[in-house]
Amino acid sequence: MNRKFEISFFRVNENSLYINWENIISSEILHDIRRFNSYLKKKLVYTDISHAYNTILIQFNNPITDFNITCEELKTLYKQSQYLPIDDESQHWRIPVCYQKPYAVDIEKMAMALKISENEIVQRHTKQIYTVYFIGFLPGFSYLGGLDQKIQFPRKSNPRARIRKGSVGIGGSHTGVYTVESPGGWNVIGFTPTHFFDYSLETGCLTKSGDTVEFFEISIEQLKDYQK
Amino acid sequence: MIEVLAPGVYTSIQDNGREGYYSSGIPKTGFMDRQSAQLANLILNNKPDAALLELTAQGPVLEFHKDTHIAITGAIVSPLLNDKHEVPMFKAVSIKKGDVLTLGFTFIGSYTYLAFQGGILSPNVFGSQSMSRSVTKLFRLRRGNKLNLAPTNGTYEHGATIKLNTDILLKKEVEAFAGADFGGLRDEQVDILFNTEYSVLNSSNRGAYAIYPFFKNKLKPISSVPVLPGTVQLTPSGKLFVLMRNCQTSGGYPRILQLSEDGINVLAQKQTNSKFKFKLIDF
Repeated sequence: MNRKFEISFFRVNENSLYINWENIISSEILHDIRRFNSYLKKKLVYTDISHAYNTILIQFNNPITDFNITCEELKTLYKQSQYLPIDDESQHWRIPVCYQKPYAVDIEKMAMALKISENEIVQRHTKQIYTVYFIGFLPGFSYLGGLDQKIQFPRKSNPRARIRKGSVGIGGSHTGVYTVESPGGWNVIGFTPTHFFDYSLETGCLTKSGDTVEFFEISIEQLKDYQK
Repeated sequence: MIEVLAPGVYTSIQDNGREGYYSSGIPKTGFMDRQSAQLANLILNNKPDAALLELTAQGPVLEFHKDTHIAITGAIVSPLLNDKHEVPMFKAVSIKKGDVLTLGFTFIGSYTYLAFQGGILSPNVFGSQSMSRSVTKLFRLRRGNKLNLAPTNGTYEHGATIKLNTDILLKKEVEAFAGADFGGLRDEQVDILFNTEYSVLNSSNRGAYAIYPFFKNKLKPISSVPVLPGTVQLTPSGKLFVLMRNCQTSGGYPRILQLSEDGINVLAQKQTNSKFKFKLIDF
């Protein structure tokens, strides 16, 4: 399934550039980006390489002297990467979530607006296997793809000033876990005791792009056990 | 050792920032005005990226428990030693054990840099000593904090001598490249963008500067893309945000401009309500 993609280059500033894929969210593009990304990390030293749904950002340590030459070199690396396996193996994470109040501050309002029960929200949220597209927004924050359409719900027009670390939320077609305390506009439906961002982890993050995540329900009592 | 008698409004340890952790969603952080900060280090013969103190609005009061040298650059303050002697900026100043340094208020520019001979010794978190909310234990200094300095061989060699240079504080032009979504603007919007005098709103911080006036906008949000310090984002309601050193690593607003390194340094020094214009530059 080695579909061919057209990639394009855009110079961002003195020392950075974007590599762009077609502007859609797809697991095939994710796969292509991850494969190129892991190859680039091996080939380019002294750079900071990150990506989102369809863009890689390369921040070199030094100014780019000739953008065209840099692009040609990157195109060559891209072609080479097509024949390689991705060497960072994907992991699957099962994440405990307490969907009860006082943690699930917005679940009641969501259930009413969606005309379904709170329990159905929980069932639909725990049924899916989500893909980590990339880490961004907050340290260790996973952009998860695969939210059930039935429980997609718009972001709050007035974001909260403080959402506690561990809050599980839904914002539009996305779901995710607040990895640190932060302001935020997502609807909070639960809380996880799992640390997604931690100093003891080599990259700081529990998850990485390409991993899969599923949530399972725990009671308030079980949550207390996890927190011991 | 240096003791923090009063922390000031927002004083933090900064160096050149983080590298290699952007894909973990960890901000770059680092000196807001890199040029001024590195100058302070050069005056003392430090490495340009040695950790120092960055302060804004009102600086700290510090008591020195050892002899050292310091250099102050960036936004103009009126520092006093032992409540009576004025301390010159932009040159190395000898400090004796027991001295108390009061930095005072910034009155031209926004960020002042205080470097110490050898640089500050503090924990390295994800490749940098720069303090950052959610990433380091403290994101700014508190009263009673103790700062250790990296050991030096004792002798002090005179570093660079710098003429007082306030260009970066007074410059009215903020250089920017066309951003990745610049092409979505209509010609008349481009005219407005480069002919408007903008000013910095007081909700600005190390993560982003909000600027005024707002901008009539038809560009829709985009799916999240990597963003970086200097990215100018345009929100659906027409607000303009310039991402600064502590910005998040991805965002979903159109990127209409991208400041150059000089552009970031110049904008960093703009106080609330001080005016500037964007100047389009090419590579």
